[in-house]
Amino acid sequence: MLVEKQRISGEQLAFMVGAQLMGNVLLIDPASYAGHLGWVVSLTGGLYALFLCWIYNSLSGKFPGISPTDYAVILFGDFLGKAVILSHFVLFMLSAMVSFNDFLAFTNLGMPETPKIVIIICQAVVVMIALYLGLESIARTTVFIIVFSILSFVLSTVLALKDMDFMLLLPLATDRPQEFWQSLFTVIGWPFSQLVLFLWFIPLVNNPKEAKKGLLRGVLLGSSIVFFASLRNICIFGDGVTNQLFPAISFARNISIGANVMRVEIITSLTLNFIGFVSTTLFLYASVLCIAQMFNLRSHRTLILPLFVVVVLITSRLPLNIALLSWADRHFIRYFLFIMGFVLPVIGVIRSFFVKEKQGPAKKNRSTKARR
Amino acid sequence: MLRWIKNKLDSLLLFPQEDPAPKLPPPTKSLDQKLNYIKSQFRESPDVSTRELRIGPGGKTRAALFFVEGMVDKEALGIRVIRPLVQEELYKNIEDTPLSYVEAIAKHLLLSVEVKTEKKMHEIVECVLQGDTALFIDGCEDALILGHRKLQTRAIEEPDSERTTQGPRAGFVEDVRINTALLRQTISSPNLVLEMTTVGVQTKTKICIAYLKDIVRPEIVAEVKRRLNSFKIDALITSGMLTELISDAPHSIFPVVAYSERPDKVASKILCGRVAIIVDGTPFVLTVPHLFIENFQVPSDYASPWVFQSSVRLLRLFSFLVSILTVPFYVGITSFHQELLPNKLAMTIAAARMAVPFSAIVEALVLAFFFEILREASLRIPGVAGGAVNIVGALVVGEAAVNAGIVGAPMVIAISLSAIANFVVTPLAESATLLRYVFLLLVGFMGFYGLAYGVIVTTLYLTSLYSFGVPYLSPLSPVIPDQLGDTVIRTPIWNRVFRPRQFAKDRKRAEFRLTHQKQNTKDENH
Repeated sequence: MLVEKQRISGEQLAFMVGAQLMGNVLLIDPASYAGHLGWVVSLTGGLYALFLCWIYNSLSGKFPGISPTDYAVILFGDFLGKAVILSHFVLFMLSAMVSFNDFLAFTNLGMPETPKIVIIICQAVVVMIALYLGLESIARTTVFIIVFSILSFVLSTVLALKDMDFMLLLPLATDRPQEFWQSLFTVIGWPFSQLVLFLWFIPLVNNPKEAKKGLLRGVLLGSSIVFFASLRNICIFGDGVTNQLFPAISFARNISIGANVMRVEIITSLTLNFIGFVSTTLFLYASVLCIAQMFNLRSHRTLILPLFVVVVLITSRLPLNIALLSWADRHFIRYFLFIMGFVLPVIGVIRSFFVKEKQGPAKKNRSTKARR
Repeated sequence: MLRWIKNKLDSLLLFPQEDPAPKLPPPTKSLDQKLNYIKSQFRESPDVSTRELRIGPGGKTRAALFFVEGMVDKEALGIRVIRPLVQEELYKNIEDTPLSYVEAIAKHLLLSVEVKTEKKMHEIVECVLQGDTALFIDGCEDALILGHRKLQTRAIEEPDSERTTQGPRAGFVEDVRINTALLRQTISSPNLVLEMTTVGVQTKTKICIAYLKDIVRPEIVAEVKRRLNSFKIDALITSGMLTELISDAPHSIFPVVAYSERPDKVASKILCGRVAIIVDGTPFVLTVPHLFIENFQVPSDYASPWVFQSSVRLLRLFSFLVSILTVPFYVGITSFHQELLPNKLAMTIAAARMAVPFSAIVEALVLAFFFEILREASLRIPGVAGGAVNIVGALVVGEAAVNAGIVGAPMVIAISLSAIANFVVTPLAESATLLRYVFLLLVGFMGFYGLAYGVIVTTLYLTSLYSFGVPYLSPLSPVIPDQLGDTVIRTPIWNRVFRPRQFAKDRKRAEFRLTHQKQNTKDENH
């Protein structure tokens, strides 16, 4: 049984996936970890995302219209299944907090005198309104946001073409291979493994076939933007991209066409705000769904206010600075993300072949329909 | 318990208890009893008249006409009703007829076009109060209701609120019957259904629901009827009141029910599969479902080449954004993000604001508030004085305020620009005004980040709205690709083969075989 009664279309899922990938990466570019080989990292990450897309589609295809809470229990048993769902909840909350924190840092750049708590409350209120209005509203708003973001991305890229030096993408070899692999592993976890989030949204698509296409299209869209964003930033900053806190903003700040077109960073800032909102909202929505689904609540809305309090308290109290986050990423988060995003779904797909017979009426009906 | 109290209060406050029904006389054949009842009911109403006659061979039968002065065509009544009734020789025609006396008079004597029989006194009174004439005949239980209305209506003329450079000049009037005729004139299809109903316990306002039965989705018509029957109100004077009662989102600042004074506009909406609601006594006809993008469409969009009209529609969209965002943007730039301005412009603005004692947000609020007062005053002041007030307000006070250093000149420009842009998209003028103030406060509080939050929440809100079950932002979101041709831009007419799928069950609108275009191209090639 699905707690969420609202439904979305395949296209809307694609836009949500695209926005989620863009939201994570436009702020912190893969190139800012890997230097001039960032585009190779992005490309590899994109291929990995396509593989994940196939795994997620297979897994949800085995259990059409069933929430991950239910099929996690079918696949892993009652106790382990619920433990997996709780881990999902932790993952989504953690990702949402980090996302919140990124945007807090970003907003703080423009408004250094405004108290942190004010910014957090404002952001949290906007996200909670979105959660209250439900999935349909979030999905429809995402369509506008992604169209605006793509236009802004294309515009800023075209305006900066004259300053780009494609030779900065070379050489393909690196004298620091360990850093390259480290950054590749970071990017694989962050943001690509976070795509596991969409296991919660696939059952909410009107048509299961559309859901598969939507996920694939979204991954292609998001990965392409990630790849081109890295490419673009490297062509401007070269290896110096690793020194940029927010490469997209620094990139836009450099644009000046005949002293007439300048200060484009305002558009980029707005884009980042919009896209960051989508990313944070999706994580929090998924965490609310986890809990609502696990405890069979009638609606997820009852959890919104407690979630608001938790988010505001944690984000305002925890010193989530970049040094701490990168330490946590090196020692814990990247492994956690890899296990949640890759290992567990792969085990799930394999297990699904063995528990086929035990699955119950949903599967039986499906196979009967297929025979017809 | 609380719910019970609330329901009780709702029922008392919202649904006024009807007065106990006046004591009606039982159906009677006595003319005197009927006349006594009418006289007792309308003792204080001199406009309600009765005219007693002697009809039949030898004038032996008593009869009476019952009507309201000023609502009936007395000349027609004299020629078509009274004259045949008093001509004795005509009664020979009805001597051998098997019909009852009343029916025989209706069928063989009277020259009225609209005639029906009615027995119940309250129904008779209701018809008379709406402009009909009742004919009572002594010894007959039934009365004849004769349609000889002559209501004073204004002429059909172009509506002031929706002027167009190209296109028809006709506009709806206050009479529902004339309005339905105007619609019929535009849509000469037997599938055009015009269903009448009444709303209002006291006013008994006539409402007509118009739709094309072979095009509109039946569930939308059913929903319109359900909502019209779901309330009970004392009086329904304007269509605006009805809008609030049947709207999906009565608290919304965006209109989810459209209105128009133009028959061509309403007809084209009906042809797309929408339902029109015509309210007697008002020239504004409602159409549902209403989409957000409709606010940017005007009849002249379809009267000239699509390339130009597409650019005009883009201009309208841009104007809407200008009307909302210009002032908040200016306040944000001057208060929080000065670094975003080019140096020269920043210095110009700084020089202009040097003598201003207030912060940008206070300055904007004061000036915008002043403008709203001016606008409201110019709407209420009689025509001749209105122009003078505008000149004094806009030029003299504005100029004096700048010279005195109370406000800066750039702020006056920003406010004026947003005020002018506000009138480009008139259906959204009120929404844009409110949004401007909300965004202004957000920007004053959080700079451009506040503006971003405001835009996100507004978009979320818009996406959550529905109009009669249809998403308000469709076909933009949810995206319906085959309908995007008449949204942000207007594509050529041959690209619009299908009606909107949200409200039309028969989607194919037309078939275009534009062979002449290919032919012309071939000829040129040869």
